[in-house]
Amino acid sequence: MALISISCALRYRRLLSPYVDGELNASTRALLERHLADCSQCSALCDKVSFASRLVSSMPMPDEGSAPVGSLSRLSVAGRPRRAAARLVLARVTPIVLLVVAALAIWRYTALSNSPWEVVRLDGTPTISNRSFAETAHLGQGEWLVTDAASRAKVNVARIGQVEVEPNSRVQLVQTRTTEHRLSLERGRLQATIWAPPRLFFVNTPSAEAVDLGCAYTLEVDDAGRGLLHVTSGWVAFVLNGREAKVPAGASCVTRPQVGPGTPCFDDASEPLRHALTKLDFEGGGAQTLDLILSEARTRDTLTLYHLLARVPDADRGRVYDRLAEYNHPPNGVTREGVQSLDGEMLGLWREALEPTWLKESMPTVRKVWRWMWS
Amino acid sequence: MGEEPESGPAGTDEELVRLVVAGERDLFAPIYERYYWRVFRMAYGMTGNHGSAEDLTQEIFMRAYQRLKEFRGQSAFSTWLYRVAVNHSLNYRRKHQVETREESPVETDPQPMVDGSTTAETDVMRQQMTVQVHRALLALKPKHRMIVVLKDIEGLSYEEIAQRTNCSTGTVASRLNRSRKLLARKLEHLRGAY
Repeated sequence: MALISISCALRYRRLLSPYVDGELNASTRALLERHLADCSQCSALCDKVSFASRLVSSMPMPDEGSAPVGSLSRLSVAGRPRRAAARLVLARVTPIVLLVVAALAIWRYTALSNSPWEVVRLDGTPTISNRSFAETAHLGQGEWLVTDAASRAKVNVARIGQVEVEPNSRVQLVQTRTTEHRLSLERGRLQATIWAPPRLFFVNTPSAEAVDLGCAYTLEVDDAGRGLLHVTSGWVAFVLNGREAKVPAGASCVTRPQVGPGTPCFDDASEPLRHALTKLDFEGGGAQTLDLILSEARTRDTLTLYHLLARVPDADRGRVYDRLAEYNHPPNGVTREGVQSLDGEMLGLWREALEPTWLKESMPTVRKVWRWMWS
Repeated sequence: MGEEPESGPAGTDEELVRLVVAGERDLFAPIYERYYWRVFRMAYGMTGNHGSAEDLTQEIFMRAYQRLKEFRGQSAFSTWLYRVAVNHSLNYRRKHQVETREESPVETDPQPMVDGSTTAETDVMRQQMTVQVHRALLALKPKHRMIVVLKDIEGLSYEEIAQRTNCSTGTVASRLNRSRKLLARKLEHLRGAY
């Protein structure tokens, strides 16, 4: 195959169709014609372009009489061509099918309401209301599931997920109904995997409430009531008295009694940043601590910086804004002044722009669709 | 469909549109008459099938009728109608992807054509050629096929095509170049017959 010169490819070949179609001005046309006289390859290609154009333009077209009147009557009176009519039928049937599906779903959830949850012994001798059990048992509302140092148990959360209760834990079933399934973790550790729509499964701890947003996570509470949330998939909101941290997969959040959730950060954030964050959240760290956090923050730590906007004093918010803006330019409609006054709409816009950079996990398509349905 | 507003005994396009929007629904008929074949030709080029082209043409007019209130007169009505037609045709192709495959049934017994054929043999050859050209067209990406149809079947200028397809004249030129090279390669065997 003969090589095409760069000059031909860049300068002349893009002009071939405009040339054939008479779209070139006189000087460009003359330039191209001089080239075609010298370049057999471009000349051959020009012939092909012209040939294709003539083939298509010479295709015979259906005879043009007057427009079919019957078609117009279908359009304006009956109003629907054949396929549109089929779509109309579909449009009428679809809501009925959706209603039936929704009714089945409601029946299914309602049937599960207030039912005790099945508990499966995994190791040792866990107890429910101080009674040990062999392989399986049921956990009713208000009852406590307790594991010692050698025991573990798995709880089937209605039909929306599973919770593994680790050794040395005390867990109570607080509520189970159609719209809310709630555990309380007094101490110990649990791993939750939930496949229900967001905000249906909750875990109380002494210092914050974990709200499932469609995810898998571990939650630990020590004897002093301090908690640690680590999310392995999806999102979890950690809240107390209006103070909220939304924690994505790969990130953690510490919580303390009387204070509530601290600032979330990714597990691979630097040690100095994590220490400084603990100091800022719970030990009265001031402007210098904030400086350290800002200097240690990487692109992905915009998760931490975004949450800090609402947590730092007004005087420091501008510095957090500037650092955040260095990594992710605020979208249209988001201003420094607006963020400084914690304008909810602007913060929401910026968050939407930032979220894709926080989600690094690989997720199966089915799961993405599931999340999208509920988002 | 050029930039100049069409007019006829029933009035200009823009006058008719105003009246239809005001409630004179019957006045959509002259608009329909005026543009039916232009829209049909494009639909035929895009589908390669008489029946599908009729369906697509109907859908385009229905869509245009439903959206008539959105026509603000900022461009000629014909330009607006073509935009509706282009968008709907591209969506139509997406919804009927299976028909865009090269092996999809292209009409082998087309409706009566207007040409100068004098013998049965020539007719058959013409029809076979048409089928092959249609197949080659259907093998193009819909956006590329649309540009070829607007240029080589409708005879629009690059500027007009760019306006109707929301792209630059440079894009029009490059899509035409690419499409025509592909068409020429697929249809090289017709060179002698043409």
